[in-house]
Amino acid sequence: MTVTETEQESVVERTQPESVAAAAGSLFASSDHKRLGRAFVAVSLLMTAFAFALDILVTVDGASADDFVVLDGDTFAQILSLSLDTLVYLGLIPLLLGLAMYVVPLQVGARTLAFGRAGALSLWGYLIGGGILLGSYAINGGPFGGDADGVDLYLISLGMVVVSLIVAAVCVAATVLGLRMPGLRVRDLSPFSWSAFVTAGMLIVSLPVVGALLTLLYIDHRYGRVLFGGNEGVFARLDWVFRAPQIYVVAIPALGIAAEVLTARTGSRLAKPSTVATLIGVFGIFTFGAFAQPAIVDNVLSFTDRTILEEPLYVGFVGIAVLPVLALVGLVAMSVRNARLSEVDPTIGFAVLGLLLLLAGTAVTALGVLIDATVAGDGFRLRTTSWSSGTLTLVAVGGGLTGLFAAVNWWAPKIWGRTLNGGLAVLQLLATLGGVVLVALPLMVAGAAWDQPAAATIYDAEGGAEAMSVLATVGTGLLLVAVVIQIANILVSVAGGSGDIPGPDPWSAPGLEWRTGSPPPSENFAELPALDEEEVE
Amino acid sequence: MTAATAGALGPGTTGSRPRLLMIGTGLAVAAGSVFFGALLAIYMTMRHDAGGTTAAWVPDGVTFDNAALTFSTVVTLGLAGLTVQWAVRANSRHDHRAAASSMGLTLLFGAAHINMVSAAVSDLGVGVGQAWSNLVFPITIASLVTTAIAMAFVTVAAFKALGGQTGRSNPSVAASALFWHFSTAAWFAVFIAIYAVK
Repeated sequence: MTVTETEQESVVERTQPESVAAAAGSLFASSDHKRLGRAFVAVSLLMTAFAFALDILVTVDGASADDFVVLDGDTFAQILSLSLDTLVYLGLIPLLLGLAMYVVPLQVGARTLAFGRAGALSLWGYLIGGGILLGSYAINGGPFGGDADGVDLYLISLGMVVVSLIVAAVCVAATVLGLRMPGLRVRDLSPFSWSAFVTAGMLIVSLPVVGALLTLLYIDHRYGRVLFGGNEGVFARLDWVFRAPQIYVVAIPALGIAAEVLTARTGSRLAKPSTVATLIGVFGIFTFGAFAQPAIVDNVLSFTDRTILEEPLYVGFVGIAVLPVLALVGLVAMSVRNARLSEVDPTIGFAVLGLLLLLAGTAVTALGVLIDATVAGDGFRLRTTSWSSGTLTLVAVGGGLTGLFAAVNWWAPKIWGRTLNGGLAVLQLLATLGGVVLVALPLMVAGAAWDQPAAATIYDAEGGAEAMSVLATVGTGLLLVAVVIQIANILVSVAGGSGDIPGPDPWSAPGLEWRTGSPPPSENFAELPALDEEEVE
Repeated sequence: MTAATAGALGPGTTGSRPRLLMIGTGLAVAAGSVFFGALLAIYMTMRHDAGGTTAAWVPDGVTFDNAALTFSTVVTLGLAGLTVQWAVRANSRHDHRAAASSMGLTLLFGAAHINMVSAAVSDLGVGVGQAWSNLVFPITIASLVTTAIAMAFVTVAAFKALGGQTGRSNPSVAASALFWHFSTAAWFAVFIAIYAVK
């Protein structure tokens, strides 16, 4: 009990207000994985909200078939590119890496993050690179930008962000491989740590491809523009990151989070944990999508112009990716089938919703590939329409972001030393569900029914597509509200001090992270905990 | 999991950590391998799209200093590979003088390689602004930068060895050797794809 009391005192001490300057100064000098993880989570949530705000502008313009509503032709393309860059590179990937940086060392019984100073380098590279990236758009740079120096600045800054994310992924993967406590084998990892490891591994083998492209794009754009078509060719070479199967990488953690949160919260034991780990790993392999880029597939045409049967690898990866998700849903359902809930828990809602939306997203994406390969006519393929945008919303936002919401709410006591407000979390859950449905379904319908092109500058199809875009605008607004609620909940519960101060294990959950203070003390564990037999079976 | 089973395996101890630096270096090598793989995949795709023959792809007037490039690849980097492995062996035997000396030789060979390749590329007879050169120059420079990073890594490891951090429990020399071999392999791939096959 003495230890617990000491931990409670440290909680109170840590939640004392700290001046912004003092906080920034201590963060600047810190290589503590808890500070780094918190900073990654905070900034990436803000960036995610910013991305949805930008996306509202894009969908609003789609609501008129005649003309742009708020943007013009040039800025529309730039805002579209900016919203995708912000969502993926500055929002979703840093969010999942930030959570992994915080939680994984605790779950493997490590006192630090592997290469803590490299972790700090990744945070500052991300912050500075991200700031410059936003600045490059502000000076009319970025893809489709009119300022050549701004385009160059965009390529350099995105490269800086990409390198930073690779470094962060290396830190997470090395922590799992090299800093596990004695007796804890890789096969004994918790589902989240395993999914974080798989995600980090896939980022390590896919983001360098982006780096290679950025290197060549920069040199070519700077000197002659003879290879990639100048500023308009930039986006075409990089947008494979936002497409299936590569975008699936942001949804890998959702599998581990759902498996962990649902079993822990219901007091159930995960059925066939080694099979669950295998399924997460297999899904991770299917997220590698660097082969589906125009720079490698074809020098001139966008890969969307090729017939789908010319790309068996694409059809195979996207078509089969649904199977491990389906199997994992079945195993998780089997694990919790006898559980009885004593209270409604929004964290469970997020975990279930994320898993089901990911299943739906991978299923309809596979269906689209099947339709394209069998019944699509000349010149029409679902993946060139807004159908693909809808399915990717299901996977990346519905599966990926919703799963990360579950993680933020689940580990909030450990990260910030306060439980988050349940009422706000329920509102956030409803906004997320409504937002994903209202964005994904209308876009899919518009693509299938009216051949609505993806990323169209003007929605010039039949009138129905306009209405669908209005619905997508409302949905994007709801997603923005969901992220804002998440941020507000953290501010109210943690900074405002209204959240409960938890003990080490507020959920009565298994796992090493729940056997230390909330938040953990310096070096995480006063004494490394003993491993249970079940944890090393 | 029950409280009754907790502690069945005894309290956790810090124990000995695996060779974290080797793991981190291995992951960095994996990322670097993908980076060079992507660069060369794009190069070969564009070469294929341009007709796939040397005549159609390499601009007129380009001259390759085959002697310098081949010598640098086979002899200079070959010797560097031997000396860096000598350093690993000396390090494992706590022979810090031999380790530092062999790493010094490795650095010398690395500098010679960068110098020789830079001179050969400068004498190609083509400037930036053409499709071929806009691919070849960044890929070659990326390889030389990788060699420079490997040299920096070896330098740090050499100072550590000189400071007495030797033996199998100090993996900095072995990790720097691993990265050195990666930089050599990366150049070898670039040399084959760009300067041998063209």
